[in-house]
Amino acid sequence: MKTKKVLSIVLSLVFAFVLFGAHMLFAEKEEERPYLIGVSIWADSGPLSKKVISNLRYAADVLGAEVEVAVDGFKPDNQVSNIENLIARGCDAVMICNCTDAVVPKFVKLADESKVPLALYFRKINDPEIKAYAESSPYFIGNVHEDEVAVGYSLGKALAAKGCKNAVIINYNKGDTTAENRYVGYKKAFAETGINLLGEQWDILDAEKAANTAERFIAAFPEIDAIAVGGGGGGPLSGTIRAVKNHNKVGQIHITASDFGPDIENSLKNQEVAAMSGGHWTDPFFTFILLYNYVDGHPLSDKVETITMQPIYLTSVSDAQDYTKWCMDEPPYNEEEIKNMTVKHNKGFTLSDLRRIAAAFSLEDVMERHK
Amino acid sequence: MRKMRGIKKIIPYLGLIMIIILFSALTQGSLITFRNLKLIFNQAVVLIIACIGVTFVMSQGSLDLSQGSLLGISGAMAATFAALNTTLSLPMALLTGIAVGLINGSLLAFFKIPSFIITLCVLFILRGLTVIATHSGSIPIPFEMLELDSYQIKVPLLVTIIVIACYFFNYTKIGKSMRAIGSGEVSARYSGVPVERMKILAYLVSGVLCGLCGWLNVVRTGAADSKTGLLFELDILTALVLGGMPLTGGSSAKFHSAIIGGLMLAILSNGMVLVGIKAELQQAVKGVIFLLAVYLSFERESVVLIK
Amino acid sequence: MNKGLGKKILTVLILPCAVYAIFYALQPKRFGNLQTLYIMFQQAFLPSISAWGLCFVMTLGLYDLSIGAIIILSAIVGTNLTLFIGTGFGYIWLFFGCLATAVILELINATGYNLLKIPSMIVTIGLMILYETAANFMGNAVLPYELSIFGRAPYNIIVGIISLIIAYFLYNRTQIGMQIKAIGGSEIIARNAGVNVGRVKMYGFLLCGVFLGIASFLSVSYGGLIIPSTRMSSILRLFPPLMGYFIGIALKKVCNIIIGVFIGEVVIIMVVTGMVTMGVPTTYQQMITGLFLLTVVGIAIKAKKDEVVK
Repeated sequence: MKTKKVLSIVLSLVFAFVLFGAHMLFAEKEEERPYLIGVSIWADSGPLSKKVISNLRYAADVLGAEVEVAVDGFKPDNQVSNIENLIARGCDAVMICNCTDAVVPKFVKLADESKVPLALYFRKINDPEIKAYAESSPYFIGNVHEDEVAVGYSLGKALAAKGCKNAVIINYNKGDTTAENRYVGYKKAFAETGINLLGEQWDILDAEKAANTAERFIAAFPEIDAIAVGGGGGGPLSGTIRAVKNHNKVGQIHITASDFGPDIENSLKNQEVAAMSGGHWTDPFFTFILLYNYVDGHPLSDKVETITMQPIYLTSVSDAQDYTKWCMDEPPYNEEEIKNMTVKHNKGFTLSDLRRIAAAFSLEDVMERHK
Repeated sequence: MRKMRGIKKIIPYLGLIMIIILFSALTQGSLITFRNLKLIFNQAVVLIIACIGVTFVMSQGSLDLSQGSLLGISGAMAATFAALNTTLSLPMALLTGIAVGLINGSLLAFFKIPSFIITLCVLFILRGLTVIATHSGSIPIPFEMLELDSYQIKVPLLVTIIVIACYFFNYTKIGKSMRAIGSGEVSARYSGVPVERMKILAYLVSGVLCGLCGWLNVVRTGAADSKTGLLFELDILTALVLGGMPLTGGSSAKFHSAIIGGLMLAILSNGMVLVGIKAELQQAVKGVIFLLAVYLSFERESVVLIK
Repeated sequence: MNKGLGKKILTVLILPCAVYAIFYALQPKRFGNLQTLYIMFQQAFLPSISAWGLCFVMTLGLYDLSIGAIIILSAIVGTNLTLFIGTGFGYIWLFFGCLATAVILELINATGYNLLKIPSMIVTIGLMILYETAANFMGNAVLPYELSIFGRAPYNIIVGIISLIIAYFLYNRTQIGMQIKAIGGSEIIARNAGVNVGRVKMYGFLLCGVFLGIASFLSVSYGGLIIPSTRMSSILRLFPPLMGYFIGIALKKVCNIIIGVFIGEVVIIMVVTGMVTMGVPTTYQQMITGLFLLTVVGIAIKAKKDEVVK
């Protein structure tokens, strides 16, 4: 019991020392600090979020800036708290992948109150009223997004091209804008090509759950010949592939997926996957560039801007090899290219240049630039 | 022995003070600027109110794990009815809380199913209902309701709740009866405590306050979402335990646990971002502080068996 | 005696048979086929193994909220160890890697509980956060398909049945199992009867670790990829075993808890599979599962009028 008393006193002394010492230690750090961009992200684990974070940290490093990451779990209250905390931390700008359109007005309000620029990544605002509200703010800079309906549509068509007739969809969070848009795209493609949608299951985020679900579908619907995996960061795709393999249905059941799985090369080589999309982790990078130019005093536009990009589609083994070599082992934009996306280093850089670069993003584009 | 217990009682306070001092130092005082303190208050208010509600349940030695989903469904009800008429949103959130509280309490009191099981099952059921009510997405509230997220409303509201709840918990027969159930249900019953009624009442209080939190949360974020409140029950449990609340309830259940715990969690979350601790490490820091704080403050003497 | 046993077996089978009958009546073609039945049987083992581990801890009156984090971290360590050493004796490294990690983590849980002298629910919440962080730093684990034989039938069933036998034997036929039950009945009486409570609790955690190790081995073999969960979300992995455990408790009067847990898991999987085959939207599934569980447990647990239930 005495030890605890002593411990309490020691701790107090340590804290007191830190209190007085810290002021002296940190006092001079105030001037000339690098730009700090706050990033609120849904998770810090999982392949997609990890890649987003590392790519942003790399870009910030190249530009002599810093990123501050806060995790929100896609929960509205956490997202609001993160924006508040990042602003309080002294971030010069904040970016977020909003869990729903409905929370955007609150973010905009916070940005306006603190006069801190805000931008969205992976998202566009669908609700016209909320869009108008956001666009009326002088601190809402814009958003970067992919056409997710087109992603689902293309992959749905890829299934049709394989001759599939009966499909099921395994998707991640119900209500998530990206997941819902991909679903809409798939349904559109299925309707056009005459594929029957036999079943759908949502909220599947890990490999084990996906394998369970795929097995249930395989048993209950022996006629299925296609499984569309809506996303979820690679785990659901891995589980689905395992289930199909375990039931010796490779070649009979075709799989398409958004978000690349862990072993893309073998998946394509063994024909376990018909087509997949991914590589969209570069999207937040463009949001970052938009914000960096703004805080550096060279805003690329005085209006709210939307930048659209396309994910990378892989359909062959050589595609997968190239993707690993040119996009994963090396950053898709090198130091010089990143610097050239800032007005600070490239006086003539404009918004249309950024739009062009984002729209051109593809495997061929990366290879052409770096070969 | 008595002296030791006296020290232990102040350890949660000490913990809070230490965390404030530590983060103030590390942030060169940014933590305790008026603006940031307002922010911490804003982030802690929902957690504190929910913790106050659960304090009544935990003082009886029971658990309420349904809070996360209740936050979601009451928020969804608030947002749904706000679209019809903004004045309906608060009553609907409160009514949802009351209904769920009554169900939880009645199942425990009359069906004698352990609270851990009841509230866990209710957690699943309400999460499903939340997803249905939000149409698997989210429901925005009218923009003008965002103005209700103001300190002029929250400060008096929180103070009123604290005063009333503290009065009932510490100075009335109700509070004493609840703690008596936690100390020993059989003897409480023989001493004339209406055990069943008290159990229902505790869940009712917990439910209605969580309903209020649902409304506050919606007003704060501008939307009710299908994921609102996910794992919030763990935040409540963590906050209460950090504040020194024993899981067994009884006489050592303290009202201040709710306030101290809620504040500590909010300061930790805010402070770690202000200091710039890497996101990946923040949880580990939280975990260590949590274990250390509980280790130092846990009143082993008042518990016969630690389970 | 035999008549009593027959009656008990019949009572035990009422629940799964009733659930099966309902879904069969609704979807005879989809739900009733043999393959669906076989898959449900297979899928029940994975959560059951974790639930058997949980039995040893929860019978002691303790909680372990960290089992999800332990499964994830053990699978990651086991897989990485296998890939690091080489795939020569891959299965052995994987199995023992998972097993040893899970047992060590449960040893930390037990030591934390014994040393810090704070409730197990709290210790395991704190440690869960730390295990999640450790797993996150290690990153994903991808198990090559060549090493995944135990993720498919009949191998997963063999491991499941062996685990069932071990769990049954340990829980019912060993001194440690008896002591665990004695402490669960009344810790004070057990202590007075000479049971070394601290040591038995430690063994309870360690035995739980053994089953969690097996579960993580099967889990990574089955899904092929384990992604760390953070912010306490690993607790979501606790719920499926916990639900089976609840039903096991509910069936305790008519059958052994180890068997009851397995029946519980089969029934829950039947309910979910039934809903999938009927095309019930995912949003309703969670709600229906919760209601179902509450009803089953509500009916089965008949506490006496003045019994203390918390």
